[in-house]
Amino acid sequence: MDKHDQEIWRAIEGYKSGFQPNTEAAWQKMRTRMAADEAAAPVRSLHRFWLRAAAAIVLGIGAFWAWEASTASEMAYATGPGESLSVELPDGTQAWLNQNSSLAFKSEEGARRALFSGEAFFQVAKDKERPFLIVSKGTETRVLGTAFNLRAYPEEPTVEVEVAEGKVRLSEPENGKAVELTPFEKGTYNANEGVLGKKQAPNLNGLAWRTGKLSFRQTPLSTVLTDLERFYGVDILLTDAALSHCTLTSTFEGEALEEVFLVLSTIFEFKLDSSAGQYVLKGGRCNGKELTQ
Amino acid sequence: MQQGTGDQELLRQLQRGEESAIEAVFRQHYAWVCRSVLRIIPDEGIAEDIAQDVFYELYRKRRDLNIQSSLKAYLRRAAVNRALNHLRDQKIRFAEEDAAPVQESYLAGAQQLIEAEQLQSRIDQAIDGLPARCRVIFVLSRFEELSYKEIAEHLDISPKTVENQIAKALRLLREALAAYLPALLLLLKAAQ
Repeated sequence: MDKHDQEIWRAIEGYKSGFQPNTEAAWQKMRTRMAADEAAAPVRSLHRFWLRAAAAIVLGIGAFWAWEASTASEMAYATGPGESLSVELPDGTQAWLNQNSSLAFKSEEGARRALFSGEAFFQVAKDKERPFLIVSKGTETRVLGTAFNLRAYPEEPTVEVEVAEGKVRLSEPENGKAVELTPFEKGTYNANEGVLGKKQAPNLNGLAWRTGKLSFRQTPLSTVLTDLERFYGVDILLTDAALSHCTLTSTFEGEALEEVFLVLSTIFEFKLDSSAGQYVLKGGRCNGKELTQ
Repeated sequence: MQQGTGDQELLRQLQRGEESAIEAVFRQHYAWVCRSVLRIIPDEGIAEDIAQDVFYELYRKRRDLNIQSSLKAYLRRAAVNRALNHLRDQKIRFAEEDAAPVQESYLAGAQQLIEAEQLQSRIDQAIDGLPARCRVIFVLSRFEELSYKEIAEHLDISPKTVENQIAKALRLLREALAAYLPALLLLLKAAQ
């Protein structure tokens, strides 16, 4: 190679160096493929799934020594960002997985066992002989045959169970705490505070991610805003705390968030500001009645 | 090719099946793997798809990985193989097509002050403008560090043909880039 060729050889060093692919977007796509892979090949990747689920869920170890031992039927499913998945387990139970969730299932004599992380709505097939036990983030949810929503994302401090049908027992085995939940009740375990409690959930808005419907009946505005934040994946700030006790009765189904805010602004007369990814509700009054301090 | 200090450790984590390792590998290496593929297949969409497949295969096979060389060398090889397979599957025949007209009109720009970015696109245009077979052979030699023998085996041609095609590429590039060569060399020097 002569001198001129060497010059050319060197000079073109930067061929295609201007191309900057979107690594973030590509990684999200990759994650989805990896999750789909897990869902499509459940048995093969199952052991790794147990390990991962165990790590992610931070479970009460004691309850799970028995887990590895027996095998009858094993399944594992997972969803990535923005995905949802409807699955039917071998016992006839239906599960609808919300995004970023994973579910492993094993059918044994005497019990149906699942490890879970994320959010899902379960319609558990009736089987009085074999309770359905779901372990997630240090809690155990025990049912015979019911329909309920379970939310246990690793990045959130709480595990929440909202019951639509039947009876559900939510427990925290390590400290022996438990609550019994019946329809329209919501049980919450806060891992940070170690507190297990329940309250009324008359509108079952925890199921809204699946039904697409948010209903409010004489619901305090603070609860309304929390439900909206979760459903639309946004951050909402109410500047006047006194308004949080105002109540709302309304149903939203398929509305864009902007339309919901329009309704709220009409009723409560506040001004809406959105900046830095946060919606700020300023001023306002309760259902047209002037607030007195 | 220099082995990043973190790569050895990443590789070990990957082989142990630690999922965070695949994310780290992906974020660190995805962009340059894309560019490697893009040099062989000048289509950004296809290049990204192929790059993604490279990492997806790495992820799927992570338990059976036996990487003797560096992670970077492994990724590069996988990217080149996939890109060449793609060309083969597309039945892109490397006919001895006429050389695309070399951009002579750029000669006029020699007097102008040329921005680095423009120079960059001149390089891309000049190499993209080479005849397809000539371009792939040249790129494999220049950028993917394959030997004549390896290129010959990949493309099922003789090493002599490889040598001829590279000489031809250099000649065509010299013509296409004549006006910019002094600026390009100056830029390289400045970057060093």
